[in-house]
Amino acid sequence: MGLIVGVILVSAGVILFVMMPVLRGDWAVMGRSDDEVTEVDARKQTALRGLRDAEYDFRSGKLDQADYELLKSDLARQALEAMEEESAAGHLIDEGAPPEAAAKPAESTTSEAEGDRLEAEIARVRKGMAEGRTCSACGHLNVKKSLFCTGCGGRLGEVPTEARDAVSG
Amino acid sequence: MKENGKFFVGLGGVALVVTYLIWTGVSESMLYYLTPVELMARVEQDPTFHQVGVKVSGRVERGSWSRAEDELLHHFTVIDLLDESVRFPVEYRDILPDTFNDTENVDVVIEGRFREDGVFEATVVLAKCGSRYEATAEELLG
Amino acid sequence: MILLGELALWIALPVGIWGAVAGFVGGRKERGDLVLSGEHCVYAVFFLLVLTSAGIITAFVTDNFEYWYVANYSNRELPLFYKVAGLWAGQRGSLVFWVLLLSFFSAAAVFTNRTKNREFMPYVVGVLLTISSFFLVVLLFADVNPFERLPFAPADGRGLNPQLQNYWMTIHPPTLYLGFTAFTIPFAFAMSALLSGKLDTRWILITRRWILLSWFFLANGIIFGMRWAYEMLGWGGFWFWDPVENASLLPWLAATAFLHSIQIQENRGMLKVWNMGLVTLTFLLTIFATFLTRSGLIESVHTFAENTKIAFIFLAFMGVMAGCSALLIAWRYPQLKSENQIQSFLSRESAFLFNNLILLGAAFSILWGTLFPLITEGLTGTAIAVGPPFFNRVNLPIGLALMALMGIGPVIAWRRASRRNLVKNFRMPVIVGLMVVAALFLRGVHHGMALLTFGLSAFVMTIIIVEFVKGTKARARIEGEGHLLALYHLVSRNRRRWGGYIVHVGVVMIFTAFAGVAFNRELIQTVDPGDTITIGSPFGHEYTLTYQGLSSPRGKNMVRQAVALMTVERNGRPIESLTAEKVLYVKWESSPLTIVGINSYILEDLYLILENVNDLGGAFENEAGAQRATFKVQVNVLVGWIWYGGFVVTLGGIIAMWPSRGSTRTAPRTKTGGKRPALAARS
Repeated sequence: MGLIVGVILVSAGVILFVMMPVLRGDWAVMGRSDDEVTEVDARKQTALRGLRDAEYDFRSGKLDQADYELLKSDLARQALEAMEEESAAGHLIDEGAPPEAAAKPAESTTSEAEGDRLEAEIARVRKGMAEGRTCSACGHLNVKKSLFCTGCGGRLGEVPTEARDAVSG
Repeated sequence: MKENGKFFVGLGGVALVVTYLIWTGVSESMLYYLTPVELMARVEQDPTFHQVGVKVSGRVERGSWSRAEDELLHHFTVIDLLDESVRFPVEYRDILPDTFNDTENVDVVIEGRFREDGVFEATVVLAKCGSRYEATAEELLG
Repeated sequence: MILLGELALWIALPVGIWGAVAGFVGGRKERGDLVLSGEHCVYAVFFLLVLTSAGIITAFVTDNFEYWYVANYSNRELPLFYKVAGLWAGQRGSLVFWVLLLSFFSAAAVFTNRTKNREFMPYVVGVLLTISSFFLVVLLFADVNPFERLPFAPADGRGLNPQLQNYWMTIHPPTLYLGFTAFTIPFAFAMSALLSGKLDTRWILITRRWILLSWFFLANGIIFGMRWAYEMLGWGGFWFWDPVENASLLPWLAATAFLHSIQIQENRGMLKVWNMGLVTLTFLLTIFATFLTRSGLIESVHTFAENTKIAFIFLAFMGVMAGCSALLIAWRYPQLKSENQIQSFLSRESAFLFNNLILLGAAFSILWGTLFPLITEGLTGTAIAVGPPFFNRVNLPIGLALMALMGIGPVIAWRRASRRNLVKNFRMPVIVGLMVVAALFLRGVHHGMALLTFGLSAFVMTIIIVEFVKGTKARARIEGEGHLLALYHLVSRNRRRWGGYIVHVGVVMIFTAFAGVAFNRELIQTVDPGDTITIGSPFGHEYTLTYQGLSSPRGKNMVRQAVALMTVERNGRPIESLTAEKVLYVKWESSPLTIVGINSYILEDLYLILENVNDLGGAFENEAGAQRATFKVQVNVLVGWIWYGGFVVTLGGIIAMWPSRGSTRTAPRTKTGGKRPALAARS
């Protein structure tokens, strides 16, 4: 007797639980919520992480200065592109508190201080590109009003088309 | 594409090395895996088969197990799973697994060579883990 | 309760099928109500499986031998511990256990994603419930129902095989199963990515922790198996290249490769197709592992009783899964191809790729060797088998190459490493490695492969230690922190990398232990009480064991027990005595169980096996004359480093998986999407 009651309760409960959404017309969240990671954001996070790793690699002697500068400008450009895409799509996220990446990946998002520092770094590079101070050959960020690059000696002034487009967005 | 080229070179290189390792590994350590019936047939056809390393799966004949006194030496008889008339004695000089006994129907896998004198000199003896033998309803109900 | 559990199993199947359909249709037609229903099905299936498992455990605990499964794996005298563990002791119960764990992980995956990654979830639900339903179908229709009843209840059951009556039985299978089932989640997300067209790296970012978790359980499960074999089997070894052992190694190798190749996709956006293939392969290998164990296809001491029906069903399932995945990958191939290329041979991408190729090469050769009898029999009519010599021979160079890579990986930069920097960074570790080799050579170690292993081990350890030092110093300098704090922050800011390095240290320790096997010593002797056995170790230690005699206590559930006592001296000084036993358990009188005695030191183990007592019956009765016994004594060199290495691997894994203090959510969450949107609002 107890068994029959138990079975009926369990079956009914399960069926009700399972069919309720269809019967009542409850919908699951289908789209993406605002603070969730997008593909663009994933790319930005990857670029920022890459910049941080590159800095540590350089400081611990695995990367030459030249390689580091190149890598840095390349990654900065990627991060810039991602950020431009984000602002274009109207998803500008507060740079001081980095958004939570989906499912909280094993490594932490950058702390506020580090995030700020990197953002400042990117801002400098960005400005440098805009003002033509970043050497297109070696990526070195030169002092204002330079004519020649102190990194590689090449002539400054020719801003590569990519950087210009990325900056103007 | 260019990157694919490098990738496939690496892939090919590793594949070659692994293939080589497998090839030589197999030729050095391969053992024919036979039933007692097949073993007997082989040996009859080809007397040099006595020198070849083989792996045989069969069953321990009940009551056939004996152990030498003071010496790590076991003797037992292995019979074919399908044709019980085909059997041969086995000699083994190491520790037998716990699952080995001659009172139940114990399936064994032995490795070694079948000597000219008709005794199988075993280097490895594996007995099927008893827990994996599931009793039928009749056996459970006695 | 038991009957409720049985019925719960029957209810679970239609629920699972409905949920799978609802998930797929809901995803395709964007019907949020169907998706929600599907998610509820995931929770419901888990709930029902809990009921089923509770039913089985109740049957065991109440000695209900009317159930065939209980009668086969339990008896009245069996300690409670093992009655509960009866759930996974045999083929049928372990299938239920598998679905229980799978449904648990599925429910966890759905729950943690109830307000995020929503575009993936419909298909994730579909895939997960499809796989669960498959297992339910097997349970209900393939003659493996754990609730099958006998015509009447026998007075007592057969009991549990004594070889399984130790605490490892409660640890090893569950850990492995956790690893196998957890990997279903990344697979489901991968398939969902293919189905929904979200082909970027998001599915990897979402499932990264699941992949690590699965890998973690698999690694631990395998190491537990090794410890069990070493401690309990009485053969003095820890790995036998048995088909079922090999089958559990295969998904671990593939998962390790996958752990590395996803980093290439994350950092460079490459290898998308490769990763899709690899996640599928790893998942298939988890199914293959359980298939091999259940089907009895290959002779093994581990296999469940042979069952052809199961074999065919699982083969068909694997075929269908492989086929569907292949089709999906082919369909999405154009969108999966990446824009980036490997820029340089000398790069971390390149090293990771090599890592993948080598690991998969090892997996292939182990698979080949395991299936060789089947393949040759199919092709030539005669089965040919290969044994441990084959596997050792093939995997030794692979292991060495992997060690080298573990040293190269941390030092080589992404994209393009500069040769000069590499040389500079390798100089010291290589010197240390060579010094270690030279020192060992001078001390009498002339075994080539072992020397190479030890040298590489020193090389890798040096590199990793230097990495930690450099990283800590760099951080201390940049952030102005004290070194200890810097180290803590360093690791905590990039847990995957530093946790991974710690895992590598553990793996290197384990490989070093493997090299130690080449130096093991062993001795077989028959002795009377008062006699001594002397054995030396390669490290110069001498052990003198004096046989004291046999005694006959009798533990629970035992018919008889003979315990041999040896007092031991090490280099002349007394150390802990060793006992070795032969035990006969109730209902299993024809199979005496051997229990070994082990004295462990950091560099070696002293290992004692009671091989034989001339008059075992007399010994059990404590008769005076029945004391002569044969013993096998071993010195197992460096074997402890497997377990120590295992701890280090576990530590590294935990660090890598540890959740980070991410920023807190600021936007409010909604639980459901509300009601069905008005038709006008949908485009």
